Amino acid sequence: MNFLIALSENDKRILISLGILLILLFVIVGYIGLLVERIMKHQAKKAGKMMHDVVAAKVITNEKAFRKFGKKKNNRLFVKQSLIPMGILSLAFLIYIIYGAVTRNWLLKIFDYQKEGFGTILFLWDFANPDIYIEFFGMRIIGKWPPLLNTPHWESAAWASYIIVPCMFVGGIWYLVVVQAHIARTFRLRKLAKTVFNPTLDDVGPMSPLNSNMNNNGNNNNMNNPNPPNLNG
Amino acid sequence: MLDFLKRFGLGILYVLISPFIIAFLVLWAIFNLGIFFMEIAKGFISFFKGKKFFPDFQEDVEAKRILSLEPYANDNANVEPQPQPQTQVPPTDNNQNNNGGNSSL
Repeated sequence: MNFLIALSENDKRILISLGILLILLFVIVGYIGLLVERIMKHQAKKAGKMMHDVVAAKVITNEKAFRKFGKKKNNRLFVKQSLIPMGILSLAFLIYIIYGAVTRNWLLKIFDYQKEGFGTILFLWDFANPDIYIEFFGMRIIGKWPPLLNTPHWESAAWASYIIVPCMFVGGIWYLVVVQAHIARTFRLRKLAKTVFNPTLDDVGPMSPLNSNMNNNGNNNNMNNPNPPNLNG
Repeated sequence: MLDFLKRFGLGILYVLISPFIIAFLVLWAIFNLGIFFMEIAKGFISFFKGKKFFPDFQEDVEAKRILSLEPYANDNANVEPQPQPQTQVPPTDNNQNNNGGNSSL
């Protein structure tokens, strides 16, 4: 109780705004996680689709061959999906080489905000300014809005950065999404390799399709069924 | 509200384990750069041998061939017609009486 009384009005305001900010941050991160989860599930379904035909045609009949072929197919799909982001990243690298060769300046500061970086076309605030910070229960936290450091303005010397930075950003994020998809498919393939060729007791349980077929027809019709187990579920 | 709280809880979890997730993703991405360049090199070799840049896998070709054979191809095309339930009500003594005895019998 004494702790609450010791808080000034300003402290309370800071505390509430910090709390709201933290909650918002965690919720946003939670939703980003949900998005990542959905992308991974969608990509994992592709793993089943790409292995369907070879299992249906019984070209692959054991776990080891499934793993090996799954890896090959997964890597091939990864490379195909990576072509565009890698092309964009290569474009950024090519622009850097051209810029360096033309201007003899190989130390281009691409994030600089004064002359030759991408920061020249951004709003920038001076977060390094010590005057904007306050002490709060021994912690040094930001107390007021920092002064404006840069307003967007065009610099001819920064033309290379204007191309390189967006290309790096888009290509990099795109490549990471493709990598994430590759991870999802890898895990799904590992799981499928374990389940598709390893029968479990579930397959002969009272509620299994195999058993119901046997009950209805008196024989095992699944032996003649060319359709493979569900690889997408 | 429940979804909001769930996202909030998961958000805390993701923030806590994010360094590990990012490290894992970056390591995987670096490893995959090797795969990318190796596959591209293989593609060029294949291309200059007169094949496609990404030639079909032997297993896929074999699977396509088997699945295009008669029993597999027909399996999906010819779906057996399901027997229809009988909808005609067989005449009974009551039905005949209700019709006023106009039965042809």
